[in-house]
Amino acid sequence: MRIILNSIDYRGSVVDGPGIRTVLFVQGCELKCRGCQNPSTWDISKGKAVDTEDLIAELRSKAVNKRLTISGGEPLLQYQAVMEIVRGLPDFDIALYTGLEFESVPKDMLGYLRYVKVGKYIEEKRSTILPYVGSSNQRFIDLRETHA
Amino acid sequence: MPEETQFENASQRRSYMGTVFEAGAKLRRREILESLDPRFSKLHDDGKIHIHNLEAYGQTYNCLMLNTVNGFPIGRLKATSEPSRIFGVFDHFKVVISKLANEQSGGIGFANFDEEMETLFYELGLPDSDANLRILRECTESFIDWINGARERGGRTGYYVSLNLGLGTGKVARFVTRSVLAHFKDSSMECIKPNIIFKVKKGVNHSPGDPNFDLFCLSVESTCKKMVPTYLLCDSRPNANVDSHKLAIMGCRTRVVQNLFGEDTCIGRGNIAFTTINLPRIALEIDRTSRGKDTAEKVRMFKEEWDKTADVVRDLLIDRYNRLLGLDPDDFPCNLRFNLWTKPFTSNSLEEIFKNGTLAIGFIGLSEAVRLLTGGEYYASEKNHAIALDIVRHMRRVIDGYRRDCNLNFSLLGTSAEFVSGRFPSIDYKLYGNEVSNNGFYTNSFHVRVDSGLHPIDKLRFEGPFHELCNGGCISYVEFGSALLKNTEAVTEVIEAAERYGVSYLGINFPSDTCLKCNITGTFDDCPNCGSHEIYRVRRVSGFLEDLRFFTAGKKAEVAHRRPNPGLAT
Repeated sequence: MRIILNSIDYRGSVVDGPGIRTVLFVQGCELKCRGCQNPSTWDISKGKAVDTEDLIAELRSKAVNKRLTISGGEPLLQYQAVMEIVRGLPDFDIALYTGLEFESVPKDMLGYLRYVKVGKYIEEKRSTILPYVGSSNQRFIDLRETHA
Repeated sequence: MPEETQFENASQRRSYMGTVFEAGAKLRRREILESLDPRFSKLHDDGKIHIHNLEAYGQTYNCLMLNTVNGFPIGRLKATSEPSRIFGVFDHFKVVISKLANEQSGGIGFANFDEEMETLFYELGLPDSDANLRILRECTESFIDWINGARERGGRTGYYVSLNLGLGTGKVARFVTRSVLAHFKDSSMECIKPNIIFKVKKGVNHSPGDPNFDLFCLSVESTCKKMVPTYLLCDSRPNANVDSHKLAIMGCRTRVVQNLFGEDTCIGRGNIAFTTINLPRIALEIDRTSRGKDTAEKVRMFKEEWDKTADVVRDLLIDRYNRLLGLDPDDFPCNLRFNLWTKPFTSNSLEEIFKNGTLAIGFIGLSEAVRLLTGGEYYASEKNHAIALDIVRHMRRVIDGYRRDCNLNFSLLGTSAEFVSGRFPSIDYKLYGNEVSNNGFYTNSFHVRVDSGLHPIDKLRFEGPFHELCNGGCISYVEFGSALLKNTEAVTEVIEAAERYGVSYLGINFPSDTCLKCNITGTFDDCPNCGSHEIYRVRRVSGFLEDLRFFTAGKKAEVAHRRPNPGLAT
């Protein structure tokens, strides 16, 4: 299967979930929030198609500490391909960054995730001081705590 | 304070006394250079080496890890009331620090601040009652605030104090560690000193179940907020065979362990002097004369030229040491009174004392040097990494030879080079015009270039093996692009990776901005809470936190090039 990507950042983010995380920026988003940090990820036709199996292999070799955040763009626009990736990395600590609300995240994906960040970005509620979110309306959920 | 204000290091401020001192020091440096063997002064003037704290040449030593017991006035204090005894402990150390800072040029360290305070507490016959512990906590807090605010060195600069702690598991020692960490964490961002070094040790504070694991967690929370503490990794390869109670960091990174004249310890010992060799300069010289030669030949020539330079530096350090021995114990009144070195000043010649100190040969810009010799970055291939390691291993081998032949404690130092990071490239650029000197700074010691974009864990993997070689001290940093906020897991991940790769001493950096109006912290241009433009910016420079406005030219250039992770949020 193929997935359309914007880029992968292996330099280690500390703001996209706990620990040091590799960030996979998936291409394509229809929410187009005002003030979005990554508007270059909106247009799905401007992405790069990658085979999911190749991508899984690359993440295994380069994301040295097995912590991955799938961001975008809106990853759930390519739900099937993202499912392939999370299924292919069962030993990874994975966070999903979606603009949808928690209720809209497909339940069958949650079992593969450690964290999920939900909610649209609202520029008026921008925050650089709350951990792991871009605006104060968004929620960052530890799924292990929720399900425990 | 104008933006362009610049000093030789970021902790300096203006004052009448400081201005007079600086004017005098400038003349003194020139006089000293003129009095030296021209072999020494020429290399310094040419920017091939840098003689640090030149005005102190033959006048004093550099830094000291205090022997806190020798001269402590137990008898006098024991005759006082319980509260007075506690006040007396801190009064004593304030006196020691302020006097000592006027008789030596560099940092002052406590090797085990928590346990040293505990020992004194019980020796003074103090019960660990709630009332006494409360006074102890308040005194500890005010001691930290005093160190942070002090500009008593002529109004010009503060005290470079390092508090190493974390190993003490006794009630009072734990209480002291908790007081220090909690106060530092919760005080304003303008509290940036002293340097606090948390000693990480398995079975003591490393993992859940260890008696001081709670203190380690508190330390990590503080690092997340303020970049301090830094971490001395006691189980890491370079330190595994050293008694962790006798191992500590002084000043920005100085490490004193091995001793030809006594037991391996840092306590009551210090660094006498250090001189840094400009590695990119040697590589630039080789680059100009060896066009067309292969890398192996260039590396051979590089080592040969380094050997020649190091021989001169060895002689220079011995000359400096001998001039120091020519002084009288009376030139060190604070030491004479409190016997802060391992041997008492009262009954020994200065040689008996100062031979226990180290003479450090430092280096800067390994990254640029390897780029010039190989055409690539040292982290770009295993082959280049092997060349970089081979060069540093060679330097260490030669310095170990000096140690044997001269019977003096020579050591290899990974220099932070706050001032020379800018001085060397500006001279080299004029001479060679090469792009490696064009950034305005050279890369710290053996560090991977600051804009490498490497995964932080990979950066530690490349830098780790150098730590074992730099027996005079070094530090690795991990640079994050955003304030860590509550991301304590990132800190523990970095610490675990650093231990795995043989890092001895570790610092975690990120841009730290604080709104001066509403006190919110994070990384921002204007305050996201109240919109204020009055933002106080703190960055780490050469081991200590400092206000960004006062950085030296070289370090300002380096900060501008630091290229961490992007911190993109959806």
